[in-house]
Amino acid sequence: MNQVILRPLAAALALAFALPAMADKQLGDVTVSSGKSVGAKPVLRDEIIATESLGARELEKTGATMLTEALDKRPGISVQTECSICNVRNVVLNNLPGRYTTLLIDGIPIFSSVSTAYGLDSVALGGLERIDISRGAGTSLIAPEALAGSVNIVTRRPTKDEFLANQQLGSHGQWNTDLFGAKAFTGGALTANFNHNQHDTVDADDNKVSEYTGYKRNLGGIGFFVDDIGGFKLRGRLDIVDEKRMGGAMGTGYSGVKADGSGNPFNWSNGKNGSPDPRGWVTPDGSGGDTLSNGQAGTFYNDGLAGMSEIIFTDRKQFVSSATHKLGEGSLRLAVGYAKHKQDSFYEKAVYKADQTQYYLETSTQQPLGATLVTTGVTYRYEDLSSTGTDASGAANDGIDNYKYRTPSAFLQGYHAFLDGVVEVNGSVRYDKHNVFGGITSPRLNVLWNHNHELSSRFAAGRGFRAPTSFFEQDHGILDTTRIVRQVDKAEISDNASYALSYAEDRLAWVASLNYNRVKNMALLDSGATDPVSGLPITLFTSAKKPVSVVGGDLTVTYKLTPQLEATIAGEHFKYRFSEAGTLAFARPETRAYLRLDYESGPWTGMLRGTWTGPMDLAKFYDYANNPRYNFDGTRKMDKSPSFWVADLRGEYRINKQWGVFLGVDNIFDFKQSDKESMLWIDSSGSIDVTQIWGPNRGRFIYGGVKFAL
Amino acid sequence: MGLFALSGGAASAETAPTALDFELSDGSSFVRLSTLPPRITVINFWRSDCPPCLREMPMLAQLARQDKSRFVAIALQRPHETAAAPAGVLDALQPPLQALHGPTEPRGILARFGNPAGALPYTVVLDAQRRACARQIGEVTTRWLDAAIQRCNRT
Repeated sequence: MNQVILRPLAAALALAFALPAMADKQLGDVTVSSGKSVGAKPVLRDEIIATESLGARELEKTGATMLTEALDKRPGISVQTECSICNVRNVVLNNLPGRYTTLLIDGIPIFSSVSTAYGLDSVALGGLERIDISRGAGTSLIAPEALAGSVNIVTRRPTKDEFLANQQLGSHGQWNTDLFGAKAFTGGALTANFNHNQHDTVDADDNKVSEYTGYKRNLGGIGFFVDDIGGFKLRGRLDIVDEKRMGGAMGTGYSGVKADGSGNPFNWSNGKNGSPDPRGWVTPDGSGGDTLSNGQAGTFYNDGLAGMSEIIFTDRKQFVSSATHKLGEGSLRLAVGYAKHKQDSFYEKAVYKADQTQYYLETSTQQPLGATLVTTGVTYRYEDLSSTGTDASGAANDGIDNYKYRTPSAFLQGYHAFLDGVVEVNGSVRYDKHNVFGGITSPRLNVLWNHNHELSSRFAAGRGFRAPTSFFEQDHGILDTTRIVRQVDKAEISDNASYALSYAEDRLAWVASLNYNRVKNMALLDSGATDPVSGLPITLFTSAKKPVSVVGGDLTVTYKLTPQLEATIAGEHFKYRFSEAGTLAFARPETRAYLRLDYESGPWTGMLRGTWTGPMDLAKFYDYANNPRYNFDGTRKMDKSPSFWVADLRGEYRINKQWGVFLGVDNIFDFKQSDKESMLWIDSSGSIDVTQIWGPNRGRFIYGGVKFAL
Repeated sequence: MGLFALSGGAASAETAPTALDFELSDGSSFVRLSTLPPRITVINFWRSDCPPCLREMPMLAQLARQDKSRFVAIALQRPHETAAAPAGVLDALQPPLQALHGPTEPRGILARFGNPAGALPYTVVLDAQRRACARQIGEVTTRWLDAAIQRCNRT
């Protein structure tokens, strides 16, 4: 009899795990525990969907000050820098392009391609409970555009009054201040957080062009939690972002850099395979109109600081809130999201100002239907973009990438446990009616098979779709063009299948996973096209004709060597199948390996990790066959990048309950790409670009600080 | 609330009448349950951010001091995180109550001890042969524990 009572509870908890939006760990008088990371490692949450969870403690132990730093260097998860000047960074899941990763705040999708370009760096880590990462299309019922997977940031609901302060100072002028305060009251809590983070530009090869972008960032936010208001359990947060970043020219003299439009303030001779002449570089095809100091044909640089600099100011306001209410035997959920994102940017003399508004509305309910738990709901998503700008010549190109997307949708999900809970099945389907790309159906299926208490298998298959936007789909395609010719009439469609086998006992845990991803109609942005009538530069916005496949696997093994010391070893191997240039536009490694040691004893905590990155097929990813790349001295760029290790170390000492101090070194052995190959490159005619990227853009980084908790 | 107890003859799939065991850290060494002297053992799984877990801990410590059975509290957190618990809870986590830390991935041990859903607080009472004879998801009471210990004494 007791077993009959238990089953609905177990089922309800399991489904709550499966829905990120409902992954609130307080469920009445019980707390869902097993899904949460209790240590340093991302562990699979006890969900039917394989989800890796990074708890607040893990985020702290890595020394991360922002989301992109927190997620990097993990099997199947990495952060890719896509521009050496502006350091636009994406979270890469299963080695698929970063735009296929959807960021959710408390289960609400309120980031777009515009806001993730620079916005991911502007997600602070204060006041978080955990970050959940789910890899694979269809992992999120409410974000079908997550073709590679989703990253859900879960805000912590304080249960007592708190004040936390963290002050960090680091090399390269790094300064990070985190403040978090919480006031708990009967039936709720209020929170406030502030983060200031700044970092100088870094130019390791001394050519006066930075590889690491400097920034100054201020983030502020407030949160609220009300346990019962008219029967609703309510939570929400408001965040404000103000960021200024500049790369290329050193320093923070934004106005001066923009005004400096002629002459050569750089030294093109410095750095690996530098030019024979500091004034310019070799033109490999001999077409250069200038003669370098060694007599070779070349191109003298004459565009001033402005011609090699990118300056981006970001102003963002975002609000998310959700409310849940008991409804019959189940629950009702309402959710709302709003974001206003403004980008005021200067790209090598081109001006681009974007203004974006996003809304998200959701109503859903979860009800037991016999022994099946059913979730159904409707959502409405609105996203627009309005831009103004000028190309490098000063010609206006206002609105070249404007769009307005409206997507009402409905979804249905059913969960059922079979064989006394040994096998759990979750199936869902959603239908989206996109105002441009029409109706799209996205099904998914998840199966969890508990072989025994320690060993379980998870199988997932799903489909996702994404409406392409012309903003930053690849490269800085929108920058120096007079108009964009849209030849895209199909959404990007991804089919994904994955299998994960996980084992967890008291000292040993391991997870092995296989992932298959196939993306059709991948968006392509060709900024090198020419208007056949006017002869002016235009950008073609098209879809790939052939699908792209990324297939791989990874294994993570963690073993507790002693009560104080835990070791982790992990590896991943991926294969990339693509034939059209620009589909996978940034180089990825086939193999990576990870080693990590975590120490904790009394007041001491330590972390040592090493990440090995295997060679990347630069010739293939960067399409050397049709567009060979050269160094400033006219030599060819590497066909394959070298393999390399990056090691990080961090230690912390807790003086007492209130005070703690920490010291860390990232990239201990100071490996940086610029020692082997410049991130800058030229084509055969001497046109310069900034995207030859395969390695770290910053060398050794030393930091330390103090923490205070009240 | 998911409150239920198992008598010796009503074992479920989660709590087969086999001897249970664990190997967990007390901060300085690994403790294996099967190497401890046989006696009735109350095992409580908890976290410092679980309010009902914190509420019941002083009561568990008080019962441990009465020496009616062995009491083990397994924190599903790092020591650094449990150190943030209120002073009253940290005081409770002293001998004779034995404080241990759970594995990095707690799913296996929770399922093995009869809690595959992973809800906390969770308390399981083992008889002297380390077989589960009572368990509860959610906060326990002195009355429930006394009854459970008595029941386990009879098995």
